[in-house]
Amino acid sequence: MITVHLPIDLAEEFKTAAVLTTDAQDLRDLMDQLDHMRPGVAGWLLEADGRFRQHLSVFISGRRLETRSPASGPLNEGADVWILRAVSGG
Amino acid sequence: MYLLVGTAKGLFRYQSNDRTEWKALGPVLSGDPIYTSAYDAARGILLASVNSEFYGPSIRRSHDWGETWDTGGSGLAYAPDDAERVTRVWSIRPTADVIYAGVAASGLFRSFDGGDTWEEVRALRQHPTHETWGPGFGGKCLHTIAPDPFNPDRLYIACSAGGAYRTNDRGKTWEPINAGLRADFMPEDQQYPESGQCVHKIWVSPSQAGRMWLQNHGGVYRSDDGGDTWNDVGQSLPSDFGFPVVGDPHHPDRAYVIPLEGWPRWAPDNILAVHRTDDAGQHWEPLHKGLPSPTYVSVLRDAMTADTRDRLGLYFGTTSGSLYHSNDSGTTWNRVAQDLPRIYSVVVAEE
Repeated sequence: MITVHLPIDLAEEFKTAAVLTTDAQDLRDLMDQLDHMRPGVAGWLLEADGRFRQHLSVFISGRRLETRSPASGPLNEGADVWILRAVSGG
Repeated sequence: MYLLVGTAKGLFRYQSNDRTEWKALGPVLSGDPIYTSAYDAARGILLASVNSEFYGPSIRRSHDWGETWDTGGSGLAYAPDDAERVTRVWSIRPTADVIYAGVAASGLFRSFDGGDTWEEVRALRQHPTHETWGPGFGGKCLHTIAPDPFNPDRLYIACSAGGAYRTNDRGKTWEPINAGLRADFMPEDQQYPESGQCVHKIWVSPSQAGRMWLQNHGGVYRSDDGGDTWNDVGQSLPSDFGFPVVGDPHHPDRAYVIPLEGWPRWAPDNILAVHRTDDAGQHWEPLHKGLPSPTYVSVLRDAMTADTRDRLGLYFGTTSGSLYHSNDSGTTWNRVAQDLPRIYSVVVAEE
């Protein structure tokens, strides 16, 4: 099981809980599941090239991804994913 | 009547029944830069370009005069392998059968389903002159979309820098219409190129076919032939630099500009004034009764507009967050609001 923490304002806009659990196998699968649940949300998180937007800060089990990292790669069972508004965005 | 005021930190709304008393309805979409908005009477919705620093650009819709907003459908993006990215939405233009949107990096999108999904009008960026387009200070943006009221197949756009373009076949093919427009940021022998000019705004008259007004990055121009040729009509202004230009929808010879010094882009002698011509640009009259002085502000390209009443109402907002209106064709002005965030756009929504 994967736990994902969404930015509070994003969760409110898309009328979903800010903390969700999924059975996603990797980051791409997680984005697809989120977008299936709330159509359009992936476009708020990712650019057309499949990378996270410039001013989002993403942590996976405590490790921060580099800015504009691709939303791909494995997620271990029990992973904790935090998607945060980066301080660089204002 | 509603005024929709797009600012650096949200959309502010004002409502009036008599164009004299304005009731503030409070900000919505708070915190995000709202470059522009539109009222789509045919579909009964408001649209707003929300350019979030965190979540990117979107065009969001409201069915209740802005109280609540959706999340904006499928969004606007170029293909993943495109050399350019969609970073901002600059313009929204609803028509009877399609909604158009202009973006940065300069490009044109359209939606046939009321904004649920968007597709690029690709022929525009495929024009051979696209390589002459570059960024102005505000970025590389397509900021003006103007359907021709006399020809449903004809559409005008303008981008900074890039120039004005026209299609006569609903976007299948495009031609630059910049003959005679000055590019004073180029070397002396290259100041009248086919494209690449920094056009700040164009306005198309609904009452005289072919009549257009254009505020350039240096130069105010009038066209009587749909952009085939342009007449330089700004030479008697205190400065022919500025951002917005607005025509009178009922009187094709009447138009309004707000001259700014080329640098530092505030009013000449710090006297903020709207200048009006009643004779197609031969003469200009400064109108500043009711406006403060001295001022050190700018008025951005989408921050002045007019309503459609016979006794024309005019509205503009400043970079220091003041909002002014006139209900006598610009002769006198009154302040509607002050201390708002930097104002990007002022839009009239008439039910």
